[in-house]
Amino acid sequence: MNDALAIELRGLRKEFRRGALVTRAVDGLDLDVRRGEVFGLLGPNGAGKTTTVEICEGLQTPTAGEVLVLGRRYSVRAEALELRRRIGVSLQETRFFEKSTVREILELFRSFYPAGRSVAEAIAIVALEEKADTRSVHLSGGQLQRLAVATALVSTPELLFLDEPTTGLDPQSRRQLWEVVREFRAGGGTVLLTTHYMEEAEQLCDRVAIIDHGRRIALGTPRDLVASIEGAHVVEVVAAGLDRLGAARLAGLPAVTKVSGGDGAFALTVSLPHVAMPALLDLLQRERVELTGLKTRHTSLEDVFVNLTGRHLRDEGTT
Amino acid sequence: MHEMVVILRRELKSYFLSPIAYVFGGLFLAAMMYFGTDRLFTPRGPARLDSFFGNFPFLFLLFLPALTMRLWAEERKQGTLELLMTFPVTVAQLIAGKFVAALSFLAVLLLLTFGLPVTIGMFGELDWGPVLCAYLAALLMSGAYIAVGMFCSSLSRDQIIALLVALIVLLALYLLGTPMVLVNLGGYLPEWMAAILGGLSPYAYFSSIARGVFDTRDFIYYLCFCGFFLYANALVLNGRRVRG
Repeated sequence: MNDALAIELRGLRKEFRRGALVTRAVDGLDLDVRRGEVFGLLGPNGAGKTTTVEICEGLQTPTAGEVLVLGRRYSVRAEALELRRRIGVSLQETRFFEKSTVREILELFRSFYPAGRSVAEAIAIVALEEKADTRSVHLSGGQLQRLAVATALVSTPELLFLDEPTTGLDPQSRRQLWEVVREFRAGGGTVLLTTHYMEEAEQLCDRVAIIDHGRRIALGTPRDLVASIEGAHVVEVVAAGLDRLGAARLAGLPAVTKVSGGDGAFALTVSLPHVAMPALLDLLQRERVELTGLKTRHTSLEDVFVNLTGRHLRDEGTT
Repeated sequence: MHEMVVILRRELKSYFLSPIAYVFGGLFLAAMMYFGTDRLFTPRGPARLDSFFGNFPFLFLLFLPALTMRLWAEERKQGTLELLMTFPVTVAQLIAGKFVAALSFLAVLLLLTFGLPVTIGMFGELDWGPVLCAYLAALLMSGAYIAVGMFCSSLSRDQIIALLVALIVLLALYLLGTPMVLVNLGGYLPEWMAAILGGLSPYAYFSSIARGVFDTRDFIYYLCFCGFFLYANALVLNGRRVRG
């Protein structure tokens, strides 16, 4: 047991059985989350993020492997109860008792703990003062999500689990939640966050692990992971005749390190955009390819995922 | 204990703030009064409440599944059970809180019928011993039926399925305690097996206590019956955590 770690996962495996069909959601995952950091689990839908988080929350039992949360095990009854007093959980989709108001819901959950924040404080943290006496059924998606975070914070937890907390929220609500997370971290708290918004991970997380098919395929700070791709920029080109040229011709351009895509839309990872761009435009002009779209951007965690798996994070269907 | 009380308060609040509970309570009381208030007075001799209490086992089996069907099925359908499980509350505390709340609600409804024996006692001679015993028996039987209903509610997200399963189980248990079924079973099964099956029914034990006969075995039966179904309920909820 390492005191500097909030979560230690060793060889974590979770299988779901439906008759003879066995689905392996988590497949031998090793992970360390340090105390005081915001750790992001990234991956497409069905990658095993939520299952991993729910095991860390004690909502699911692993098929195999070791799980230590704040140095305790859910498998030990007394430790499980102690753990639940020390963690805060915001589920992926939280449904509240529809006829209860924001204040009543928080009063209910606050009453489970011998100590913690006052209900008014929890409401203030998520800026829901004006909705305190509104029934949950009348709250917007963003307000419900903030209420979910408030229920997680009402006990002054050491470790906060946020499972896709901003999915479906408007940009303003998303930024409000980011502020809540930043303030929690500034107060010394640890956060395990799952998301498939790359911008969110880059903005909030000290370190991220990219998960695919239940396995960890990358781990590091967002900056290090992005830097691990050869080339700091991506040039996205859309043109009708690009397929005729082929990926090989594009890959042969100076400063281009990688080419992906097809069907008239290619993404070129480039180390020096000021060298690659003129060469690209020159090639298109010579080959009489009519350009319909051209965009440059910095490489992101999304590119890291594409680089590692050949797929986009949003390629998979929802699960 | 504190966590159990939190759940109990939440459940009681949901009963007494919900119009469905008042509709249920109204229908339940109306049925008890309608079917149980004939033959209360006899031309000679003391007033009797046998017909009133005699209908309890069958009326309870018809009504209680409607009370218990939502206890877990609604939580599972709305996803609020998962949320509760993330808080420092054990499955046993959740079950105890919901069970005691449902039983308390039933106790309030039973208390509302108490006006009937009081009124009869004012106009006729009423032996209060069997009356109080019958109320105790009704409370014990309610506990048994609620335990079955809660277990059935934990099996499905669909309240109607929970209702139907509870109805079938309770009806089977009720029939096992009726003389007609017991006699017929005796024709097909060895005597000892028929006796065991008959002994499973809460009906026989209710009749015994309601007559004013205190037998420790009857109380032990109800404790074991409730304990069995509440434990099965806990197994279902914990099993879901393992399976995911």
